[in-house]
This record gives sequence, structure tokens and C-alpha cells, in this order.
Amino acid sequence: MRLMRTFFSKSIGRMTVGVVLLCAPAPIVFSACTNLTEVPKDALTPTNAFHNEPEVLAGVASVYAQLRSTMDDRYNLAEVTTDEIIVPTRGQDWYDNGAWLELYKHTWNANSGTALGAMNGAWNNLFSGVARANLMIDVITQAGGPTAATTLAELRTLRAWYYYLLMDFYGGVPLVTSTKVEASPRVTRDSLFRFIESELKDTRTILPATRPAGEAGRVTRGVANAMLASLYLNAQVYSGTVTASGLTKGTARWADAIAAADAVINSGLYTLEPTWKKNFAPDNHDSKENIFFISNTDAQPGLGMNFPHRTLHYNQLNTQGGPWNGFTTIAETYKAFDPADKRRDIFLVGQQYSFDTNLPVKDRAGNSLVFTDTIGKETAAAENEGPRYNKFPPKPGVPDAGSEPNNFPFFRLAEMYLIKAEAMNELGQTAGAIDLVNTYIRARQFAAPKPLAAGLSQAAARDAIFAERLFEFTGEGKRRSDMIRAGTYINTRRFKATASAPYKILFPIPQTQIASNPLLTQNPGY
Amino acid sequence: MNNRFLAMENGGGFAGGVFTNMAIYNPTQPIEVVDSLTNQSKYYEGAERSVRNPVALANQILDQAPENRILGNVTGSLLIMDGLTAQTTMGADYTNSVRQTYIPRSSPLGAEFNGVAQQKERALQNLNFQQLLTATPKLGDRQELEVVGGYEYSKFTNNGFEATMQGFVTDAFQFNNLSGGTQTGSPVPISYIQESKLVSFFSRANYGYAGRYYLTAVVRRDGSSRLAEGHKWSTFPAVSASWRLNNEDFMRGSRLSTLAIRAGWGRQGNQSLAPYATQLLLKTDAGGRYPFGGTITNGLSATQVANPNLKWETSEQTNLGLDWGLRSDRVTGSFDVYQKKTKDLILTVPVAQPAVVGTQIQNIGSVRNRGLEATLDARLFDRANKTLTSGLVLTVERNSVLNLGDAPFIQTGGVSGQGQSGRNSQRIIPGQPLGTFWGAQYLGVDKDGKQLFACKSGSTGCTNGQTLSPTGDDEMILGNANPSFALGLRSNGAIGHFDASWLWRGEFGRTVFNNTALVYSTKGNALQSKNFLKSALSDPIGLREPAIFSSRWLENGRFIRLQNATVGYTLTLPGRLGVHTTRLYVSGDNLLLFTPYSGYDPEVFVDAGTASRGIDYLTYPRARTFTLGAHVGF
Repeated sequence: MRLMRTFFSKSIGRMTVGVVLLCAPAPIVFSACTNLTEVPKDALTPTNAFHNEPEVLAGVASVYAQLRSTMDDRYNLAEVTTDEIIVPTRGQDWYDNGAWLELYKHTWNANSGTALGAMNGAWNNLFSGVARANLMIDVITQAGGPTAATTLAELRTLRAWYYYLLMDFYGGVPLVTSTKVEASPRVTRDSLFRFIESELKDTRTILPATRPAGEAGRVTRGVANAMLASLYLNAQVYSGTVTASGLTKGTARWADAIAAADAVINSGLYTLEPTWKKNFAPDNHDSKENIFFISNTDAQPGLGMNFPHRTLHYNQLNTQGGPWNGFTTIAETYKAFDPADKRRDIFLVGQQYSFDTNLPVKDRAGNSLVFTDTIGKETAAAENEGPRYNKFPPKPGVPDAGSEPNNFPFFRLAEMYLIKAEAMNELGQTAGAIDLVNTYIRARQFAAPKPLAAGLSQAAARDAIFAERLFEFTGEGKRRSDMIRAGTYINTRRFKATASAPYKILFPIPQTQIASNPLLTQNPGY
Repeated sequence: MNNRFLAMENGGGFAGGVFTNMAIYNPTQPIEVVDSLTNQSKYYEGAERSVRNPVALANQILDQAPENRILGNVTGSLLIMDGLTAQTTMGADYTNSVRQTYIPRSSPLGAEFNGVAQQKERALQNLNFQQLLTATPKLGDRQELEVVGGYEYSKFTNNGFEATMQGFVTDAFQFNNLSGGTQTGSPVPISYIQESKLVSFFSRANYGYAGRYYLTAVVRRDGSSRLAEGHKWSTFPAVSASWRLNNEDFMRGSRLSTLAIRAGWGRQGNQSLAPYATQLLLKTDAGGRYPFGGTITNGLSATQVANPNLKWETSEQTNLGLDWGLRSDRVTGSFDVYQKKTKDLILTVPVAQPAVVGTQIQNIGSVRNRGLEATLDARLFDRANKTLTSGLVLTVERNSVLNLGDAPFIQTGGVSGQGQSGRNSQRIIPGQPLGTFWGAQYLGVDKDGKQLFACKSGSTGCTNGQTLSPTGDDEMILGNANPSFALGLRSNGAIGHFDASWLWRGEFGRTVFNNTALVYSTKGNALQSKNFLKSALSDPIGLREPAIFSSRWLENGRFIRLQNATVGYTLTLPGRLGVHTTRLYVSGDNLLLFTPYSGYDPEVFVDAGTASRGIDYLTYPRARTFTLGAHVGF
């Protein structure tokens, strides 16, 4: 019995040993048994990517793709902190921890407050654009090649734009042009301004003036010039200093603003669309007026915008879950538009209709949905209160909320005329400025011509041009920097009973960012 | 195996899943109506788009997942010489499943897309190889020694393929003909693979002397592919010892039939993170795609920040224990205390910008758990046909976050529901336990039906210590989801042929956030033709007021639960079939619950972010199970 047991286990043993030898003495013999290197098969790493043109183009596309994120937190911060958009609390909807009204009333502070979420989101999204650009700049600088020079100019222009938007919100931020992930200190707002200026002045000499149809949406010389025009328009703000008591203006650059705007206007590559609405419609992809824009599409889910969903009522559109009934406008802003101004049509007031069927729609309680032009209480609004801005109308049948195909314009030719007009007025050429506004902006908006009076004073013309920018650009994410430039951002307005502290023209550096980068200092006043 | 899912039982996005809709669907609305055009019956769907007919959801949506699993193990052992054995084990575990879903055009969810068909295939492979060498040298009568050395290699592979198509002209194909849909607007198909390896060398020695002293020592060296190059390997030692005093000469004749003390210390590692998390990955997902000239260009975008220093999360645990028994172990008990410190926690935290994304996986901070456990068991009756054994277990645990690196706190415990975006209910704070609730203190309602909260003087909107809109400065620690202590009572007994056992369990001094009440016991739901909790009728908060997270929604979550009760009857059946004994029994789980908590169960929680706990939001209920069974012995 004992003999048999020994025999049995030995023979089994011999059999297994044969199989087992593959790995058994492995620690000594076979390094495969201790090799823990991991190589992803469904993703690339920078060391094994970008070996051919399509891979490089894919990397460049990702830098553009990050522009989509600017339609979220960056857009909300640029709009909801102004008189253009308010997001009232509607019963259980849109309270969101008080964030929307905190933005509108400027009651955020540095260490607490629910609006910090959006400020942190915008910081991350914009810096992510910088980091994506830095990665590709690094790759292409090393790889070289015949198209490297223009591609690098393209990437530097995009990076300058991400830095522009950061500078606009937070002042000076860490200026990093390498791919290292490490804590870096802030530079001054003025030095960031000068970095962006020098980058754009350089890239506009390298970038192509036009692109073939298949490359529409990629950066051109006109884009760099438009960015420069906007940069110079705001030079007194961007190159100034902000303290707890507010802005000390820097040097004005009006002549440079005119020159940059003229470079776009005189290129002859852009024309005003006869129908203004064309620039914002779902089929605005062939707009001749849009210079720099976020390219959207409904061909795949998630590659478009969701602006219609933010503002339209739940029952106005038959897409997944319906729209969200949030963003609206205060009565004062709505009524500032001339009833004869075609641009007023962006607002929805009165009985509402389905965008799918054109039939009247009802609210959730079953009553006819009639949008009012005023909001009673911003903390307890009914679901039909407030005019909605339908600047970017939905395309019926698009199934997904984030898939509206309307391109989002950062710069249109119309703005180049308004930048030029504003700069001319500041330089004392008021009559010429008014002429520009009347000829290129107001002429296409009124059936019966309604030009600005020719004899306006410089101050009156300044107000008229700021007002014109409101009518022209509502919903285009420009209002915050316009109001800061005009000095009206911190003022009281409907539902904002107290003027905010003057340092609030800059957002605070989000606490989360200071915790992860101890070299960051907080903005003055906070 | 063929799993049939209740469609979207909890998830389902804005409109919620079946369970959510069961709770919120207006019960005065019909389930089916007769279509005036076709004169046929159809499911009713109201104008309110955030509520769906739950019967329609459950019946219209097809969702199934056939699964095949193959498990295999081969073990061979070789007696090399007396006292030395080699053993080899090879194992494989393959799981393949396909989840097949169809949301028909006839359902309002599917109508928006003209039908949604999806097939998701997933394969999991786990290959394992283990080589053991065991030595049991003979050291005389009084000593025992076993030494084991080993090597283990595991490889995990997870790969899959998913395709979704929308835009069907007919519901006839269900998920069986994806090409019947329309490509434009449909999600792009995806496939993926993840591989990881875990390699260990280990040795263990058990030594015993004269039935009185026992010593165990373990050393492991573990390597994980998931960690960064240069940090993949780490060593994890452990020792434990016990002394059985009752076997000592000086204890002879003592009334203590068992007396032993135990002590142990050990270090353990945790590498639970996704494969490739340490590398900068370039992926072709939607976040990198961009249309140029109307044509979508595939993007290669960096989806995570590399961490070339990511290492093992390690914990060190020390424990001390005492076992005792009286009167031939008729009464026994134990007492254990332990402390466990975990450092280099693997956490996803914000990273200095610019970086390709906002967060990075880092080794940050440390957490401590301390606790004690005491048990007392007694054989109350112990006669031939009447026995009763009963035992009591007391558990006390205290958890504390020691350090979070540079971060002052981490927000977690996201609040669910309409208008709750950006609201968190918990913070991980150094010096506080995990599961610490953070928010404003609720004071009551003013004459206008607005909620009042406590505030610090000087904060915006604060008058006389009260505010309508609390700022971040007014928020504070509101409670803690962890119990002060837990008790268990287990008993089993028999009288003649009958036997019975039961287990009571209770936890005390714990706080639960009733997120369900926050959303559904405010009146505002009435404006949306939704069902709501009865408590909303008497709720003092105004009709158009938002639901605001505060201490108001934190409840005492103590409970006592009859976890299990079983009654059995044993009979002996002599017969030709050879059946000797048969036991018939009936058993019930989750039978009784005593709690002041107003939700339906203080123990079902949603996952609301990093280390969140104690949050109840329309979670699928815990089942009450009855089992009827028979044990047949041959």
C-alpha cells in the first residue's frame, strides 16, 4: 500500500514537472516570468506615436478638439456673470448649489462658493488645451519635416488663444511651453499679454492666408490677426494691473487694434453674410463671415454644441430627455434691443412652439407654454419665465444634446468693423467710427434704415458702440470682457442689488489649483 | 448562463431607470391607454419627459446577456523526499459575455433615435500559475515546522467590442441586425483591451512548540505591471505569534479551559488601479476628434497624466488578541484590538497645470483604522435532545484620515437629483473619518417658506446668525456615516428533531444622508406631475423653493435587523434507497428591520465618489429572501 502511494505520486509528479518547467525555475532562467513591462494595445504613448502624417494630423486635431470644452465653463463664466444671461432657480431645477446665482451676483470668493467649480473647470479645460498644444509642439519640433513650420505656427496660435482666454479670466498664470508637469509660478498679466502678442505677430507671418475646403476650420493668417485685434482692443485691461481697489489701466493700443482689424478686413477673404442669422444657424459651416470658430458636427454624438438645450423649454425639442429650460435673459437686456432690429428675433417670448412639429407646446403642468419677458423672482422662477435667447437654433432630429452642428464663432468679420470703430472713436475719429457702425453693422439689421446719429459726441459714440456690441454679440461669449473694458461689469443690475468689489474683474485662482501648485499666489482682494 | 436584465434598473440618465420611475411615476396616470387612431392599446406616456412609464420601460426594452464561463485547474504534486513536496497548479478562468440591448421605436426612449440596438461583447481571461515547495522536517515530538516557498504568476486580460446603431425603419430586427440602422448620428463602435500581470515570490514558515507556542512568518515579494517602472516590486513581511497558556503546566487544573494570547504584525500592498495608469496614453476617443471642412478627423489625444513614480499603496497592521474558554469551553470569548495604517494611498487628485487633464493618479496621504472586537459565546443548554448556543459580537471601529498631502480636503459624496449639480455632501478631511458629512446647518423655514440656515457672522447674507443662502464659509461638519459600534447576536438550538437558528445584527450611532427625501419630499415635484413622498404634503418649504442639501436631510441610521432565521426538521428514513437522514428547512433572510430611519433601508447606499459612504438615493432595495430546502444524506 505504501509502496503504491509513493509510486503513484512520483509518476504524476514527473508528468507535471515536464509541463511546469516552462516557468517553474523561472525566477532564475526565464525573465519572461518576471517581466512586468506593460504595453497598451488600444492606445499609443508619445514614444511610439506620431511616426507619419495622419498620426501628426490626429495629434493636431486633438488640440482643436479641446476648443469644444470652451463652450462649457469658459462660456458660462463669460456670460452668466454679465447682464446677458441669468440662470434663475426654477423650483427644484437649476439650483445647483446656488452656483448660477452666485455667478450672476458676483458673490463668489476665493475659498468657498459653488461657482468655484466652474472656475476650476475653465482653468483645467484651458490649460489642457495648452498642454495638448505643448505636447504636439514638442513632437513636431523633434520630428521636423516639410510642413513642420506651418503646423508649429498653427499650434502656437492655438496655444496663444488658450493663454488669451486664461489671461482674460485670471490675469497672469503659469506660462509653460514645455511638456513637463510640475508646479510653476504665475507670470504677470502684462508679460502674458506680451507673450501672446509676440507669438501671434510671428505666427501670422507663417500661417497660410487660406486653406483648401478640406481644411476649413484650421487656423489661418486671418485668425491670428483677429486674435491680435481683440488683444489690442483690450490692451488697457490686459496690460494693466489689478489690485484690491480695481484696475489701473495699461497702455492703450488703439492704432494696433485698427491695423490688425484692417489686416483682416482688407484681406478680402471674408464678407458679411447678407442674412445675419446665417452665421449661427445649424448650416453656418459655409459662412463667409466667421473667421475663427469651433467646428461642430452632428455626424457623431458629442462633437457638437448644446446651447439650444440650455435655454429651450423641456417640451420644445424632441431629443434625448428634451432641453433643460435654464438660461434666460433679464427684461432690461431684452428690451434694450430695438423692436425693429432683426437681431431681437434671437429672443423667444410669448407662446412657444415645438421645433420638430411647429405646433404649440405646453409646460409640464399642462398649460400653454408662454415665455414672459420678465422674471418675477430669480430665486423662485416659474418654468415659463424669462426670454430665451435662441441665437444658435437647434437642428430638429439631432438625437443627442451635445450634437448640434452649429459652428460656434469666436471671431466674425462684423467684430473687426466694431473693433476698428471703437478704436477710431477712442482716437477721436468719432464720425468715421459711426460711419463704420452704420455701414457695416446696422445697415443689414433694419428693414427701414435706422443709423446712429452722425453728430454723436465721443462719449455718446462709445456708449453706442458698446450697446451695438451687445446687440451684435449676445450669446457669443464676449460680454464679460466688453463690460470690464467699459467699466460696467461690477455695477448693480436687475437681481444684483449691490455693486461687486472692484477686484472681481478677475476670477480667483481656484483653491484646488493652489493646493496642487503651492507656487500659485491668489489674485488681489481675494 | 443567460442573464436577463431589468432594463436600466438604476441608471438611465435624466429620465432615470425602472426603479426610479416606479417611485416617481404619477400613480394617478394610467399604464395603458387606447390609441384613438388605431383603436389599439398602448403604453401611456405623459408630457413630463423626466418621468417615464416604468411598466413600458420594463416591458419594451430588451436587455439580455448570455454568458459562458470556463474554469479549469490542474494540480500536480510530487513527493521529492520525506518531508519535501512540490506542488504545481495551473488555472484558467475564461468568461465571455454578450450584452444585447434593443430600445424599440415604439418606446418613447427609443422613438427619439428611431430605435437603438446595441451589442457589447466582453471577454475576461485570467491565467494563473503557482509553484509551491513545502518542507515539513521532523524535529522531534514537541516541535512542528512547515516551510513553504512559492512563486505565482497571474495574467489578466479584459477585452471587448461594442457596437451601437440607431435609426431603424422597423423594430423587427431587435439587436440582431445592426446594419439595419443608420450610421450617421450613431455612436462609433469601440473595442478595447487591458492586460496586467501580477508576479509573487513568497515564503511562509509555521512553527509550533509543544502545543503552546506558535510562530508564523511570511515574506512576499510582489510585482505588479500596473505600477510605474522602478516601483513595480515591493516586499511585504508579516509575523504572528500565539501562546496557548492553557497547555502550560502551571495552568493545569485551572477553570480556564482555553486561554491564549495572540499578536501579529504585517505589511500588505494594494495595486488596485487600471492598467497603464502610470503612462501618458494617446487615445482616439471622441475627446480628440474634430471636423475639418465637415469631415471628422480622428484625434490622438492624451487622456491621462503620466505618473512615473506611482508605487504600491501599503498598509501596516498590528493586532493583539485574547481567547478564553470556561467550563470545558462551554463559555468562550475573544477580545481583539487592531490598528491599521495605510499610506501612499492611490488616489486621483488635481495636478499642477498645464497638464493634459486636470487630475493625476498619485500616492497621497494616509488613513488609520483602529478597532476592537469582542465575542462571547455560550452553550446555554447542552443535553442530548435539547441544545441552545448563543453568542454576542461587539465591533467598534474608528477611522481617521491622517494626511492628504498638500490638499486641505477632498470633496466627495456627490448629491443626486434635479438642480444638485456641483453639490457634494461629504469631505475627506485630515483628522476626520472617511464618510464625514459637510454642509450647512438647517434651522427651519421662514414665513415665506424659505429655508433658513446657520451662518457665521460676517459671511455674505448673514443676519443674526441666519441666512437664506449659505456660503461656503457657513458650512461645517454635520455628521459621520460610520457606526459608533455594531452588535451581533447569533443563536442556534435544537429540540428533538427540530432545530432553529437566527442572527440579529445592529449598528448604532451612524448617520445616513437621505438623498431620496431631499429630492422627493419637497413640494416642487407637484409642479412636474411626478409622484412624491407623502412627507412633501406637510413640508413647510415653499412650492417654488429648491431642494437644498443641509443637515435637515441627515438622519439617524441606527438599526436592528433580523438578518436570518432558519427552522429545520430532521427525520430518519430507513429504506432500500439507502437514505439515512433528511433535513427539511425553511430559512428567511432580511426578515425584520427596526430603525428610526425614514427611508426604506438604512444600509443600501449609492456610490457617490471616492470613499463616500452612507448615502441613500433610490437604490434597488435589499431583497427579502425565503428558502425552502431539503438536505438529503446517503
